[in-house]
Amino acid sequence: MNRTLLGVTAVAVGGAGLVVGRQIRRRRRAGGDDGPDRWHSVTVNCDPERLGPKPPPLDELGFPVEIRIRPATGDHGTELAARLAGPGASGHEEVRQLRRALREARSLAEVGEVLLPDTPATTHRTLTGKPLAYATGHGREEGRL
Amino acid sequence: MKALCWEGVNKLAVEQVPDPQIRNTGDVIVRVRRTVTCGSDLHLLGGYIPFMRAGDVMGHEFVGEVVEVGSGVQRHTVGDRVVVSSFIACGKCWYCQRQEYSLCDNGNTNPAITEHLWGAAPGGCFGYSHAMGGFAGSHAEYIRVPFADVGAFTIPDDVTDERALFASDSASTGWMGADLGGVRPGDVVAVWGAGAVGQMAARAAMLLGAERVICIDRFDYRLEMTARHVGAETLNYERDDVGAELLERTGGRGPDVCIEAVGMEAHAAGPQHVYDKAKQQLRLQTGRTAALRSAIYNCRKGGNVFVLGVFAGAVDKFPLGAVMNKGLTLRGAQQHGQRYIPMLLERMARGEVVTEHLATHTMTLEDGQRGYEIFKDKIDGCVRTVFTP
Repeated sequence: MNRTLLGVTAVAVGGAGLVVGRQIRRRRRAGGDDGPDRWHSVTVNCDPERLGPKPPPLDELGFPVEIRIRPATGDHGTELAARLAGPGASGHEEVRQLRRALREARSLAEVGEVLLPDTPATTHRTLTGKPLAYATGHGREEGRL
Repeated sequence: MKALCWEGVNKLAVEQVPDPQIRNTGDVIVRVRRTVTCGSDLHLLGGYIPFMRAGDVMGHEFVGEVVEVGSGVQRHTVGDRVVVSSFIACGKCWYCQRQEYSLCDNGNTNPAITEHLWGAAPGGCFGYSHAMGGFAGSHAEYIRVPFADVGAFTIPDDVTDERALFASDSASTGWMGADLGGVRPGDVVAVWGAGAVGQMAARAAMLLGAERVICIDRFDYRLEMTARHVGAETLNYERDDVGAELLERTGGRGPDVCIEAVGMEAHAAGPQHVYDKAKQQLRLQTGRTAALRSAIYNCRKGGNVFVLGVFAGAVDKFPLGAVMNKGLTLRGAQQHGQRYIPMLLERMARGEVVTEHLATHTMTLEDGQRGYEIFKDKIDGCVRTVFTP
């Protein structure tokens, strides 16, 4: 029974990975991630003035980005959006860094620091754990932002 | 230090793992005094939530003593006896400020997984897979608690560890089901599941003024415990006609509020259980919803259904027609412990919320595998197994 469940779970892990991967690929095909005009956005629970013109760590990115800051609807705070700007920044890797920077900018503005994961994340390195290790290694770089 | 770790499907082991470290200024390190199994752990153990890695420390419901504090911690000092919310929340984001702590924007270090699965990421949770942040669990000698000023609460002197333990998750989850389920004085409330969370939801409904509270399960020992310690009425769905009983007890209306406290491994009487289980094992659905279906079907027109049990993905045979045509309000959430724990500790001190009876078995971490087996298989009258690391 354990072996059966293990097999089914392995299939499930693979399946979950495929679903996530397919969504990412579909988005890329649609020009989602890498489309130069796509704004990536978070809403920050503070006034626009508190963020400044280019809140950290967006100011540390090694490629040009365009920033847009505006009040959010209702009482949601401030929308902080960014997109790649110029020919030096057009790839998927830059979008990943941008996404991470946006999430971290929100944490810095709201909390004052970025929550770090436990270390070590786990005590075993296994073959089946590798896809998940990769995913968690890029946990703030992927997603739907 | 010693820790009880997930090693694979239905496999646990006690291992030596590195001691936790202060990683953020708001962290504390807690020496765990008591930590308890939860029904939602069984979903991890059974491989239904495929985001665990071998060596991950299990457990999310615990009490302990603060042994180290980060430089930014203001509310706690070394030696504090604390109960900690199972969900990790910053206290500063828009969701936390609305007291929806389990939806915290800053508490999950791996938001991508759940953003893809569910459209947006909830906060983090101790010992509940890498989808929920990959934080080490409480079935260990020590645990790191981020945002300790927000999620750790000093236990009053007149509340024992044994009682306070369940404020960490079970009691706060149950209270949330009754509170956000909209229980009002005079209501009839039905609760599916007479485990710890179901019992606490029933107790919360009574304290919020419900006139009748009815708990539904198939295990007589759990129903008897619910009647004795909570004071709720009971139904055994393997023996009683739940629908007919609920109609009879509500003048033909159905319960005003129906709380589902079972989750994705629901059992059902009859062939639907075989069908549901086969589809789940083949991963054609990720959850079995027999209890939720019954809650929706039996709820009165215009009533509220609250989902407390944990579900991970897509389910089959969801009765959307009943939800729509009966005008139901369907709501669910992971628990907002930070919202309820202070109030629960006060009620525990006054004796209004008692929980000691839920800890039917107490053992050391070394007996962890056996502790989970008797909990999972409901052997020897088990409701919850408590570990003392």
